[in-house]
Amino acid sequence: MKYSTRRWRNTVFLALACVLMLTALSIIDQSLNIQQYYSGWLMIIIVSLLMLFYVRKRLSVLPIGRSSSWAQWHYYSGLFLLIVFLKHIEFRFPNGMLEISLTIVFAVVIVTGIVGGITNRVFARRLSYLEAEVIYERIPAHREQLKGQVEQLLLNVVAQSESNTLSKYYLAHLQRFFNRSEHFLQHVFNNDYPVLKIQRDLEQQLRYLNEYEVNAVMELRKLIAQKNMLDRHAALQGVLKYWGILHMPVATVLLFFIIAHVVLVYAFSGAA
Amino acid sequence: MTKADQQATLYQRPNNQWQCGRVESCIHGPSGDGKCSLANQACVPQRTLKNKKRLVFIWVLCAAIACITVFLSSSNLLTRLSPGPLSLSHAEVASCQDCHAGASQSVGDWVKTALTFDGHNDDQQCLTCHALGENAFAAHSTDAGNFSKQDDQQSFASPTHWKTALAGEFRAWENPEGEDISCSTCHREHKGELDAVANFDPQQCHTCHEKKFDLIETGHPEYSNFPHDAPSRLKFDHAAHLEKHFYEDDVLELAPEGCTTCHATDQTGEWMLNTSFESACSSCHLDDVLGSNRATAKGIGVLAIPELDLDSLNSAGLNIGHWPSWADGDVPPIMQALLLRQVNQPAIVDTALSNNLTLYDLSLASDDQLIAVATLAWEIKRLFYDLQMGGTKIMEQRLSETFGSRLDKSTLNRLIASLPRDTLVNNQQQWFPNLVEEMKLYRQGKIALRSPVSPGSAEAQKTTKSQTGDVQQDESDNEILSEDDYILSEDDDILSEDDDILSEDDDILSEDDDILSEDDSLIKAEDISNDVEIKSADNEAWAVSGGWYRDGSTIRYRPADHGDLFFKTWLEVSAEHYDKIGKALFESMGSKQSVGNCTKCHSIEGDLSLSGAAITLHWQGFKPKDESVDFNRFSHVSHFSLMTDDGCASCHVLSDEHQESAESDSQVLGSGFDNIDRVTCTQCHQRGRAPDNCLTCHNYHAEPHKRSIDKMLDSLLNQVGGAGDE
Repeated sequence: MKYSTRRWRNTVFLALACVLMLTALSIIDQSLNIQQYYSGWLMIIIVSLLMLFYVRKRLSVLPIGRSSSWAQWHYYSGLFLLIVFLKHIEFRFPNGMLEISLTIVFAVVIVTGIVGGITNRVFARRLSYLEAEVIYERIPAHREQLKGQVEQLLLNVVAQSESNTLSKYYLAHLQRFFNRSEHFLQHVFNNDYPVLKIQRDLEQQLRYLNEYEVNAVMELRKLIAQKNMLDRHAALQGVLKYWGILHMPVATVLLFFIIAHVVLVYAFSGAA
Repeated sequence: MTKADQQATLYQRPNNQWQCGRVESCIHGPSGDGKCSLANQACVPQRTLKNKKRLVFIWVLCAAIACITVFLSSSNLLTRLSPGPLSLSHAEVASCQDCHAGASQSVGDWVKTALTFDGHNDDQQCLTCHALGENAFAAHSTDAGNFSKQDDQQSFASPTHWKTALAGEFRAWENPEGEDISCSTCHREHKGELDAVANFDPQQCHTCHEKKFDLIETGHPEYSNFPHDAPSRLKFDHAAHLEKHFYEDDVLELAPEGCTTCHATDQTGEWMLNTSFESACSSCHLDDVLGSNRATAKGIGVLAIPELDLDSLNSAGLNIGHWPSWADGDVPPIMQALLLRQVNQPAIVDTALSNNLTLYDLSLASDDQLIAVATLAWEIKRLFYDLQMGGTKIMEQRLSETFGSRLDKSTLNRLIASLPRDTLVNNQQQWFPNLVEEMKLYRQGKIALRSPVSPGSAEAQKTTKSQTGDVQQDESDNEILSEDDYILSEDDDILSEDDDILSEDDDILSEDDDILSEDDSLIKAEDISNDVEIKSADNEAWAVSGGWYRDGSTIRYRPADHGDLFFKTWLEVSAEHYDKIGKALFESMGSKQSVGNCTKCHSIEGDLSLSGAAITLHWQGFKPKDESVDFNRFSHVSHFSLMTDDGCASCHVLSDEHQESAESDSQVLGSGFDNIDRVTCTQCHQRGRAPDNCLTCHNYHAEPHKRSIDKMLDSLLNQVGGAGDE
């Protein structure tokens, strides 16, 4: 099944489920029942199912469906949970301290989940467009290697051309670029302006350079492009790897809030 | 650049806790505890991503637990746990404990309570302030028996919305037994000060109601008994008054100018209540109440000396002692009530008081009936004797025993109506001048009911004279205590010569005593007779402002005003104790011809023909608080501006059918108006115009309940009363 077809199918199912759920809850409300009890327990069931995705990841050896299918279920169930939650609170921000805290924690879990879902789709595709595959953990080594190549190139140029113009320019404007990962946000938002500016500035130095140095600049431009690609890998893979560092812990905290909320609801139930 | 090949990157160990921090490759990597495996070139091992995630997880968890711990250990935990501010409706609620039992429990108890998964835990707390009665959580907070049964023929033309139908199905499936409804179903708190507590969608009504409809203008059934479905408490024939009486010449000037002379809204503006008798009725009907226009006696007889056929009694050899021949009364029902439970031989007296015996003509009476009448005569004497000796306290005792000792002091006081001692004693002295002596002898058995003389003999004739009191007229010395007097014979132990009371030295009975002088008019029958005739007319006229007076041989009470407590209390007590005595009393005082004419306007509820029946007399017109179950509400004030030139008749149209029924049976006199048409309401109350939902005209809580402030006031009053009692 094509990705777009699957997305349409799942979105339609999600929309239908939401309409069905909202209608059912409004009917429950009209039947002199309190829909919050029903939507609350529905949310607990959904949260339990969402947590199964984490169990599935931990037990990858078990033949319990493809991981991608589980991820799909997780994404759309999470969105469904958001709608149920909004109906549960009657589309209005709560007043109590505990309820506000619960809502904020829930919002963090939902936002990090949505961010994770989007990055998993968009960033993975963007990574596949890059020229080479790079292991995230090896990026510092590759960066060090590139820096070594650049500095060796400049040493050779100084020896051949007996001019230090290019090397001075490197020390002043390019050394920082090769020392560390740069332009994180620009890479996340797919912005190439920083690297284009570096290369344009370098080209503007050509009129001050001799023949050896001009040839070296041509080589330097390739190394800058490679460094830029490394930076993009670092930014995109970094987001992919680190977004979940907040999602899971906050989701766990949410469980505590849910338990506290359920206890309080039943212990103080009845009197409006 | 190195390929992303796991085999080529063995030195990277993302699944381990630590990795090498050097950029140069190392095939060993850090040890499990994070130390460099190369002794000569020590590196700086770094946490792997997995390790970082784990660390963050632990920190976030610890932070959350710390926050929760601080939260739970807070001194004002309940305030922090509150889901929000209360509405203004509950502004007087002081603490969480007022509404939530759990607020005074520990966290452990909360968990235990929560594990019951009962969503009604605190419902009972609501009733602390909101007195909704025994059926607080039942549908409409009332017994199902109070629901009106809609006629199946009623038209419900408007199909209901599918969601409403589904809600009904869901309700029936989820709650087949019709279990209680929690307050929180419709009332939601903690939403903020300005948020309404009531959260009720009128469409929810159709969840339970079998006949469902969406639009009032097409689906609501016609009003079958609206606004009145019960007899009026005050019998008032609107049609007769509005179309006939008010146009009569003698009352034309007194007729009210409009409906508001007799009806006014209450404080809520919802009800049109009756104004007072004084403002609405007295100008025409006060004379009916006071008896001014009565041809017969204007006061009700209370105590009387009945006229007896003394000749027949004498002929039968029955001795009743002195009995005035001029007595013209009967035994009034009130006096019967005072006698019947006190007599020694109730069956005999009951025979004498039965309707088939005429006391003043006993010529055809049997011997048993004559004995019964004689016994009655002595019981009447005993009543007067007891009253003279014990005063009104004796009346209180007799009344308490008549009605089963269930009357409180204030009721007894109203029944006696401050009967003046002088009225009683003066009359008694005229009627029975020798009462004390006679009763003493009778009680000692020295006066036998049946005299030893043969009927029709000279002795019998003499006895007759003594009974009638005429004997004094024939005696020249006019002495009561003559030697020949049967009562005061020489053999009489009481009046023996040695008796100190009647000794020659006794000042009381000396010859010079004025009381027994020849001029004494008190004991002269002629004077008595004349005096009675003169005074009876004067007495009644003198008592025009109400109160006690003597009329012949009857002591009567005349109403002082509308709502006279004497009449009201006697009717109430007899209605409350509707046994044989109560029934006779009520029938006498509640008849159309009775003094006061109370039941002409005040309707009676109950089967009057059945002794022991529950009888209710409606003294007041309708009061909202009398409405025990009320599903409807209507604000008259809000609709005044919509009246046409017809005024109240814009909605209230006189009924022709009612007039016929009113003539046939006045006890079921209704309002006299036709049912109001549904169209009268729906011409405005429809979608897009005036409100058209169920709760505009209907109350959910059908049984009126006191507001919290009322209940607090009651509680305070009880406390004050309790302290006063102590």
